[in-house]
Amino acid sequence: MKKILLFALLFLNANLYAKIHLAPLPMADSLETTKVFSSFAEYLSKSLDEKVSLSHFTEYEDILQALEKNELDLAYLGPLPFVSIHLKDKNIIPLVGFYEKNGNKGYHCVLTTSILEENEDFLGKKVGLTQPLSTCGYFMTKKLLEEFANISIEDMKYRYLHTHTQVAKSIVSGEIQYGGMKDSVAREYKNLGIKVLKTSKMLPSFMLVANTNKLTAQKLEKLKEILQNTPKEEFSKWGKKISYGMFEVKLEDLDFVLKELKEMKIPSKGNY
Amino acid sequence: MKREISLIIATFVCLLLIINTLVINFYKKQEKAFLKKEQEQINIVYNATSNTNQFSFKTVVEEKIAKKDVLEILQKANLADDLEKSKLRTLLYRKFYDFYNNSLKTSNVLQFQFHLKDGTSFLRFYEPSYSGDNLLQFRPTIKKANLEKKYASGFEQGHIAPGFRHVFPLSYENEHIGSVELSITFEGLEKSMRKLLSNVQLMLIMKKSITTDVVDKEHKARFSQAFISDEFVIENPRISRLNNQNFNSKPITEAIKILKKEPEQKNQIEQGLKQARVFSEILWGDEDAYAIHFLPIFDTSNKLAAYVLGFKKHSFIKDLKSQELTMQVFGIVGILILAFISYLLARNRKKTIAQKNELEVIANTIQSGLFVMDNKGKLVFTNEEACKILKYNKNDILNTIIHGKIHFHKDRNEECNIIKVAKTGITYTGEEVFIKKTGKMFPVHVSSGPLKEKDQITGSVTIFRDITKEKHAHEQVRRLAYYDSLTDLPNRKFFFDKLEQTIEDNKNSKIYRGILYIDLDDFKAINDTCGHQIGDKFLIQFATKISSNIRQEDIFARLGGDEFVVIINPLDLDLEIAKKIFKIIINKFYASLEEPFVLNNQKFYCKASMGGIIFQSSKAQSTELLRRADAVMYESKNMGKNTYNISIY
Repeated sequence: MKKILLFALLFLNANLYAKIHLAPLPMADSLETTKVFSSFAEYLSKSLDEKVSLSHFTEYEDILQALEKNELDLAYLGPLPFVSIHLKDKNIIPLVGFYEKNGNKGYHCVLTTSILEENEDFLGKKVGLTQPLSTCGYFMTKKLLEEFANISIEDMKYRYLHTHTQVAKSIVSGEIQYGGMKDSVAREYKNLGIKVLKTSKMLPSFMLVANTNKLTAQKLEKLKEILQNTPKEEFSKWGKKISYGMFEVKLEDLDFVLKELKEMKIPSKGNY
Repeated sequence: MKREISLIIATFVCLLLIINTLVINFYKKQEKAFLKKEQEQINIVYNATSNTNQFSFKTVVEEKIAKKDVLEILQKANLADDLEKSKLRTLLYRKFYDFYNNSLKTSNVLQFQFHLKDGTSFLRFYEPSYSGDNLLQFRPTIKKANLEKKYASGFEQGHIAPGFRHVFPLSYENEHIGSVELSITFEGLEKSMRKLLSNVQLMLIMKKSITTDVVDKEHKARFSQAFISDEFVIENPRISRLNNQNFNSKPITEAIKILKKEPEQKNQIEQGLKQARVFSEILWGDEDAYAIHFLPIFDTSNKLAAYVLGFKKHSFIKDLKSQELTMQVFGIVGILILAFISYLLARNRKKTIAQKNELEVIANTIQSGLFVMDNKGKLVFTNEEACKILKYNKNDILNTIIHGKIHFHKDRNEECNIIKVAKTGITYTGEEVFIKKTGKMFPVHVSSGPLKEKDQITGSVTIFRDITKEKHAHEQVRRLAYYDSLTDLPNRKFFFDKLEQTIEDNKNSKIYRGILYIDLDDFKAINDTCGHQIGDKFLIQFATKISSNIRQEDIFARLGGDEFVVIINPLDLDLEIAKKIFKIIINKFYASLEEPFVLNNQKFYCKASMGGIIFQSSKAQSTELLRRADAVMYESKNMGKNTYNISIY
């Protein structure tokens, strides 16, 4: 009981006293994010014997800035945000990648619409994007639109809707006609008529990145060791997105994203 | 004394404990009543708020949901394949997307969900991607709405989270097509409750059996352990705005601190929670007191599902406690003072008892009767001697008004000297006549004095002595002094006293009185010839004869030897008559002597020479009168004896 009390107190005051700050990517709302990452953070705290707290950001950009300012030790990022920050700070490195539900070491971005959209007319139509630095946002949706409909995203109305789920919901609600999101999210919303129009090539998985400016080599090693040896019965208890296991990520796996990013200028705001 | 002190200490310790218990009980009752009132307030507010929601949701269903286009979608969905269902679901989602986001969500409606008639979740607005799971067995409200086609409400578990559910059956064209659910979060309830409950921090703790044990895996993080019991969880403060606020509010943070320090109190709370009852607990912080009220929430199957906790900082309870402490301190001080006074009283009582005992010993030792009466005449104390003298049993007379039975008054109208003492406060000493229980009267010497307390007469104390013997002795002495031992006649001294008194008493009187001097003739010859014994007997017979012939008012005395004297008092105002009377008396004497005296079978004749003096008191002088009478008597002797002469003084 004492332990539980202690834990409750630790949890409540975690932000004030945590030594390790972990920020998950805001792919869904803060509740969803908390649900996914709280058990993970608890596990790390317990294994490291050090407080690990969750820091919440609504914008990808804000997480990257926090990393840059060395306010964060760990972050859960998609390939694009990682590459963006890694280009700026080489000391931010991938630690482990997370397997997808289907066991893949990567995922796909998809161009989606609603099954209620009968006319696949793109010109001037509204397209929902996650965030500028989201892999499935402008970065991949632009590419998917070009591949599927041979249309430039700039010929459509696009806006950032922050999260993958919000993009899905907005399509379902009819607010927008098209949207780019992670394939797993599209599958989740299939029951609400989300229809995949185009699937990208496999992209490197979401990963846990470490800020080696803040974390010592010793701690980094310990973290790697903990994560790589985490038993299935433990990680299966974590939030859905990260509950299928982990693998080592190499920088070379991200070359494609790096190359594309260098050629692309991502607008920070939508055009409507 | 030591035993008495121990007894006093023991008594007062008991008293102290009793008072302490009474004070504690009194304030406990006050506290309980106060807490109960608050409990009731929370309960009433909770019920009122829940009912209000029911009515407002009913309106929402009637006005917004149970519309033809919506019902048609749901009706179709019951028969549709997955693809068609997706379309219908999307249509439904689009219909209520704005309403859910802009109206329901802002009114703290957590879940807005449509169910098909078989109890399958068709569309959850809270989590739209999650549908198709059958809730009939898991959710009694949905079962009731779809099987009994009746509105159902209550706090209930769910696949995502428990909630305060309101499930309305939906029908279209007289056909049951499913149900719609509106669940409010506790935050929503709390918002309404807070408007009616000032300064109460509300929190919901939920049983694990309806939360973490049953929600889907990915929703477990919605909850975190309740600080108050292992059996309960709360909504994760990271997610819940209310709990986030709560854990920054003083009553709750203080409560956590206190419970951490007081594991016993925490256990007590846990016991209360297990019993699924309404209860309250007071937590005492370093500075303030906090009340936690526990209001159980039951699920639709009447099982304990959650508790609404009301936290409140209480200056009233603190004031009550201060009052209780003050009362206890006053009680203790009061008892100590009382104990000290009792000690002094006991000490004084002991002294008093000792004094009383001494007094009793003294009273019983003195050879006089003693009784103490209060100012109403009631006998409050008496000694053994008094009882002995009066022949009464002490217990029979104590505390009774005995005076009338024991004191004889010649004049019944005269106020009793002894009773008077208790009225006037003046000490009385004198002789009185008392009556024994047997009825025998006897003389007593009485000394009675008042008893006073602060100048108020409270009664009297009377000491009395039976003086019967003294009186007798006194009489004997008196007789020896005033009477002749041979003849028992008054003696010379008596004669002179009486004569002088007669002269004194009648100084202004003109009445003539007489003195008669009698000298026996030839008495010496009887003495010499017959002996003194016969002589004495002769004198006795003479005295008897004369005595039997004198008037009652006259005095016959022996002056000594064979000389006697008679005071004739009075004779008359008229001298001649006085002379006549005097002579008659003298002749009567002589006549009485004519009969011979028989002494030792011998006859003796008595002859006497007498000399009378007639006088008026105003002019008389006792010795002179006797001398003159003696002289007149000698004249008679000279005239040949056995005769008399009378002279006027």
